[in-house]
Amino acid sequence: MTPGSEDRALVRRARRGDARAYAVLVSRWEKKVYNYLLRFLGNREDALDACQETFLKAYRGLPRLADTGRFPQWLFRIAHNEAATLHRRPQPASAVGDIEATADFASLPGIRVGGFGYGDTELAFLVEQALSALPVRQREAVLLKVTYGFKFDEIAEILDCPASTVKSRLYAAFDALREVLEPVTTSKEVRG
Amino acid sequence: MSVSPEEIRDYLLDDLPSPRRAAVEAALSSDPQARKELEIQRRLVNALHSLPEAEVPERASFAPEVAARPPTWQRGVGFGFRLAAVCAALLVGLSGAVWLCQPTVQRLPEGWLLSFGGAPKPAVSASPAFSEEQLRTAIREEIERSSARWASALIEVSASTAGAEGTEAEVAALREEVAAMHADSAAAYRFLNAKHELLKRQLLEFDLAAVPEIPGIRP
Repeated sequence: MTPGSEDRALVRRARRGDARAYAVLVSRWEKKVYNYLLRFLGNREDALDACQETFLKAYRGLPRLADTGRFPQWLFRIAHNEAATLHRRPQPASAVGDIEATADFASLPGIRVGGFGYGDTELAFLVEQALSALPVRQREAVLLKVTYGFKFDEIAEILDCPASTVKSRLYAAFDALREVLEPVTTSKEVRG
Repeated sequence: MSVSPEEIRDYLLDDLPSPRRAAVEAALSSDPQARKELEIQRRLVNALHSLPEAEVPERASFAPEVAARPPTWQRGVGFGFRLAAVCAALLVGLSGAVWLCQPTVQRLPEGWLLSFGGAPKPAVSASPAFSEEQLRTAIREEIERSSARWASALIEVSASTAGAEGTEAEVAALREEVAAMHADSAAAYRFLNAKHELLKRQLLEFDLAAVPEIPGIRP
């Protein structure tokens, strides 16, 4: 049984009111949804709230899900809407994003050693920084495509926009990331 | 380069239609520039995959009972229905209790009387326990007994005072006084008898209580 077919079976059971089946579904998807929301919102508390709300709304909305095979994109669409709602709210002046405030680059272990390139921690940090510097729409296109592996038409459904728009956002994001990360990835490759 | 960087990217991300995929693969096998572009894109995608995933805090774990809870407005409607059901049950219970208790309201000379368990039953039969003739006879006999007691007392007083300080005229005056008291006593008995008859009629009329027994009068 593939993960997709397992999800479909769980969704069918959850739609009949089996809360345990839905709890299993949540355990399979909550980490992905939470990380998507965390990178979208940049704040753990907001990501947690949005994650909770996403799964609650999904549970209540399951009877309206026509095609059980489309559960992942349907779930991410709810998450996207939750994140967009939170993102539109005015943030307090003192609010600091968790991702941006993760650590000082210089204090990270495995810091660039002479000319031998970057360690994994540094690389992850730099990718994180580069990603968070992107506009939100480009960032979520990258996340949905690269991190979560959705097809363009699925991302279009999640973001409620044409697939061509998704592609243009993704290409723009890749160009921006390439500019920042190409030297780093080359160095890492050299070291590796 | 025979293919665009976008096509190479889509090829890398496995989102290229089959005909174009074959074309890109052909270009990659023959075009070093395309292979270099593919390598750069691959490193970029690998770098993006290197992002660590944060663990979900425990607070975010799903609680089915919370999710299964309906929204506030639905809970409000549900509470309203439950409240209405409880009120209806109480009303039915109260109606049953009222039906079983059979409360009655009666108008009495003293005011209104609320009683339960149907109309009050008289403690004794509504019919009088003795006839009017018997009552009159009893009163007459009592008067005679009283007269006899007074006469006896008068004789004793007369005997004790005769020949001492009293005179015949004083004895006669005493006799008259006793006779007047006698008459008063008879009048009082008659008055009491009339009052008793009135009360008895009232009690029987309202069917509430038995006729009380008058001390000293035995039917």
